Amino acid sequence: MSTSSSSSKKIVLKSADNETFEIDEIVALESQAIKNMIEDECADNVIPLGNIDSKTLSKIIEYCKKHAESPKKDDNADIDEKAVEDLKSFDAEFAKVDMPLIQDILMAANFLNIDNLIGLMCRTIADRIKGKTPEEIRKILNINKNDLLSPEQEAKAREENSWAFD
Amino acid sequence: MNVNEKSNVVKPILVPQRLDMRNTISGLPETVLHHVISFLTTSNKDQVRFLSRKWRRIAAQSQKKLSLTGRRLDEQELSRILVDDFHSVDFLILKRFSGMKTLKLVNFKLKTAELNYCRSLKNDL
Repeated sequence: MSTSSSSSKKIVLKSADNETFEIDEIVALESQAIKNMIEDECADNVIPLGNIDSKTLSKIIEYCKKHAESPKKDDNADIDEKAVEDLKSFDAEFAKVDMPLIQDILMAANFLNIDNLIGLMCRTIADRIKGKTPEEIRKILNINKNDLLSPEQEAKAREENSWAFD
Repeated sequence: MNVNEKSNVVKPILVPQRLDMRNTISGLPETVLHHVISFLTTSNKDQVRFLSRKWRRIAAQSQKKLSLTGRRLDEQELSRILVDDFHSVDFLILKRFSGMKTLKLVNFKLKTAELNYCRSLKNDL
């Protein structure tokens, strides 16, 4: 990994498959979990992420870099509209990956506590199952067949649908 | 004899935990699944309820508005539904709970309850 600016503090992350990623501290701070580690002074050496593979981790770093560079909404009320639009289209592009990777990213984002990324991945999953039948959704999400409803539970679910409203 | 042979056949194949959980949505924590469901409309949640036992439970837990008709539910059943299954409900409509004298609900986030044709039911929600 090349270093872009030598002045800022660096954090090194190590993936499950032993690839190391050197990133600016400001990028790492997008993760609340790593932020806590830095604040507790537990991030001096390499941070091992034994449950995140390099493919997922590089996607996550790509996301954090972009978001760390962009002006934060709560910083300033009259923030550049173009920057907001730019970030939106980045997110839309970022989410155009297959479902297994989305789930890996979501799992990792949840572990690293990156709120915006969790939200983006959850919304993406919701968008992909909207308007689909249960059978189609099971396929999309690769849902475990061991947990299917019994006929009685299915009847209950139908009843519950008649109770729920918005 | 026959029974034994049969039970051998249906014995589940053991899959290593990691392989099994990988790339399946079931491996995600329930808080995350609640987050996914929060982006769905009621009609989409209706589909999700049939996916699996886990998704049915999560869809129930995330439901905020409920309209129940009393004819087939007694107090115990109603209270079980609202406390155990649908514990996030804040808006509740009860219809035709005319046989019921009292109803006590504990540990419940209810803000609004509307009673229709529940003459005998005292309003002590």
